[in-house]
Amino acid sequence: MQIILKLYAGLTPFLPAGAQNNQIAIEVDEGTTINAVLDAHNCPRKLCHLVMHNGFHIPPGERDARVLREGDALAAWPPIAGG
Amino acid sequence: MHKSLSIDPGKCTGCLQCELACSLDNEGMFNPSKSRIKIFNFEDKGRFVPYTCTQCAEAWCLEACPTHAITIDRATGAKVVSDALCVGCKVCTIACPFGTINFNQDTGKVVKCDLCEGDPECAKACPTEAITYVDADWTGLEKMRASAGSADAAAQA
Amino acid sequence: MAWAGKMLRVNLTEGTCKSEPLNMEWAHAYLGQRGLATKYLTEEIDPKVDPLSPENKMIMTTGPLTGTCASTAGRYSVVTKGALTGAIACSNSGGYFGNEMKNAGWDQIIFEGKSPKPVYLYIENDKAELLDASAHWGTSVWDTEEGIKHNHGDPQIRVASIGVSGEQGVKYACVVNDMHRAAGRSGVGTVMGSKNLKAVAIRGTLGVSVKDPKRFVQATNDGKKVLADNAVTGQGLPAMGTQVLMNVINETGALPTRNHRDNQFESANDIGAEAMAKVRETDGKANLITNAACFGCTIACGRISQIDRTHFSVAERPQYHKASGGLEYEAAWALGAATGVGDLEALTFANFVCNEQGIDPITFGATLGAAMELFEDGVLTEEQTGMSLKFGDAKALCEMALLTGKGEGFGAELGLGSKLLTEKYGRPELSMGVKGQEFPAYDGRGIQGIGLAYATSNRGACHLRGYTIASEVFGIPVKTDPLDSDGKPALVKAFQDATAAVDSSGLCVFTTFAWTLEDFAPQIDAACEGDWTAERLLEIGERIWNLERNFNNAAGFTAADDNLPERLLKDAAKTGPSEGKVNELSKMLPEYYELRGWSHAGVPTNETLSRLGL
Repeated sequence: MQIILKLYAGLTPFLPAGAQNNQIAIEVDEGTTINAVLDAHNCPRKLCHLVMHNGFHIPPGERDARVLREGDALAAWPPIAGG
Repeated sequence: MHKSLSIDPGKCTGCLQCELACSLDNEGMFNPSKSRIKIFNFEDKGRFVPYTCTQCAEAWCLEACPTHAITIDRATGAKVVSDALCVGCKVCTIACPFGTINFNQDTGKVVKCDLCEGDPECAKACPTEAITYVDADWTGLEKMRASAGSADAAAQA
Repeated sequence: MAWAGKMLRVNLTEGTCKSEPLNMEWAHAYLGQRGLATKYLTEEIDPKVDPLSPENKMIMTTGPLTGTCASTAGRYSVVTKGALTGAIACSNSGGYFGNEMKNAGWDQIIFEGKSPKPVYLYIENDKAELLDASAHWGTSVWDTEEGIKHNHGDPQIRVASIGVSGEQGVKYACVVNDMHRAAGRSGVGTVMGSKNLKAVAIRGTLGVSVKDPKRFVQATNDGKKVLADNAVTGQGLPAMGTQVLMNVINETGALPTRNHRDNQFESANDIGAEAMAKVRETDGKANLITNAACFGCTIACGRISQIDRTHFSVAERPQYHKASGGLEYEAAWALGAATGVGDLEALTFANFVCNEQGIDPITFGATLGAAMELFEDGVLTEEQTGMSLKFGDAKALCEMALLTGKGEGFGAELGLGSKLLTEKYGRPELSMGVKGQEFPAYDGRGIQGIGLAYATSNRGACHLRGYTIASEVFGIPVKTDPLDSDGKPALVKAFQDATAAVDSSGLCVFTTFAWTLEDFAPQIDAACEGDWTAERLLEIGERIWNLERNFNNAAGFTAADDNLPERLLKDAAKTGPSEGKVNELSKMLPEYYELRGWSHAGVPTNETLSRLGL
């Protein structure tokens, strides 16, 4: 199935080739979890500070269990703030 | 072995912490206008450049001083002004090609960087390592390291 | 110590400058800057005064830590009754100007009356005089700053000035210092212009001392280490700046777009931090040149950028080819998402013009967004506006920035701000703001707490009066659910009170991404006479908040003004995780009043006032 992976700021270099506008559609197996996708792209867990599943914040403790579905968007940022 | 202040403008953000630290150490208060190191803001180019005395081996200021008020600190190599001997004639400020020795109206003496007796406050205060205090023979070492790295990357490509 | 202990009173009507001792009893009760100047202002003016009349006063004010080596210790504020809002106004700025004022030996400057002709205040330490500004009247902030330095033959003078907008009565003119740092919001520059005061130019060489220098250096070094070790203030902000938020807030479904019609912007990624760092195809350079710090700041979140010379906005305007400040997130949002413009170079140009002419880019962008909606609804026509004002039109953005900066053509109408503009055209519901001031870059439907913070902000809609985004989106200090309004009244109050204390210290509120009041207290305690604890600072913050509230109540604001536009309360967010949500203000507000110790009418009770010594 296909999901959209979005990596921003200091995580941008971990996007696979072909990504545009900081995002790319990738193929993953059914039942893939958030951490599985981030690990597969070598995103250091320490840098995956803010992780959103379809825009909803997922705390670190839930990322191993949270399963992605067809068409979902997974977005991640290192620690950031602003204003 | 002496050390030198090494300046990397590319790392400077223009925060003036160096000026604050310099003035506190030398004047006992926070007063950037009395700092011996200054940050120049080249606004149009987006560049901030720290600048201070580079402690010339053959120092124009020292040679020019008619009262021999400027001497070499043997421990650090710094060219140091003796307030007891300085008469405030400012000949050194004319002689210095870089403008890094200046007159202080409040004291009637000239002031310049004295390397804080070998422990420069500006370098300690710099949050980005734009100012570091390094081996005087190797102020180019980090630049060389970076160049070596990119040359090697090019060779491998 | 820390405080200079004296202030300057400038009577513009009489043309006099007088030194006065600072009221130290007030300094101990209100700390400095925002708190102390608000105390002076509220003691000295009638809350019902017309903001643009000579009876209004304007105070430029520093904190006790301004000019010291504490990280970010360069802040100053402009406190007055706001031209945009008619509410208490306090706009905070960085750069180097605040330090110069403190180094000249002044904690604050009170301006009163109105000069018969344009003047600027020139200060050289103890010496202060009003000088003729007729040569600078009608010129931009950039030219004024250069011109004044030239007048005195002194490149080390620091200048805060207004552009043409402030002279022309644009309601949201800023006071701009050091070319591109601004006391930006609520029309503090409009008040300055109404007094015929073009600029304040200062050279200060007296120095700043603190109570216990040794302990102060230790305490500030400890604070700097916390900032450096924190991933946000040590790495995130210097590397990406505030602009990193564009994609974050868009992903959460809280990026107000096209005057809040939408809550996500399809071009967000074209105008955020990642886009600024991207190498352009046209010239092989990136928009972003470098990051930059304000005085004393060890975070250095500021952006310095340069516009693509081939871009239509500057192709015929070489004066904008140089590097300058911005874009920061709020400006990029307002000039971009709020207007639907996804052209980064056009946004950068409009932002340069805002700095050059001294207009608040947040209110300008938001007002242009409202005008664009009026245009698309057929209420405004091309005949009235002079050009097509469709959402997303980058050319319209650039032209309108130039016109508004000078208060010319349709720019004079945009200069009214969205409240007066939409009222004028019979569609007041299209003004997206509170108490006459436009929202910043977060949608109160997708982030509940910030909606309450907007509704209750004493200076009109504002993110900097209680930045609950830190908790609701970034998880600082703890993560709360942005879509849940439970617990938000307490969160908003805590942020508001702590921020009021920080805004009174001389330090930047961005330190609070890493620091709590426990980190501030030892720095203030080592610098200032007396004993300073986190508890005392929080109490001062609450005292300031209630003082500001009292002023607004006396000025004629009521609980009915603690409100949000219907669009946020009735039109549900359309997309993303916030889809279907409205702001639950009516649920949060009563609880907020109760926590504040205010009546149902939003008035502090006698018990609250006496508890805070008001």
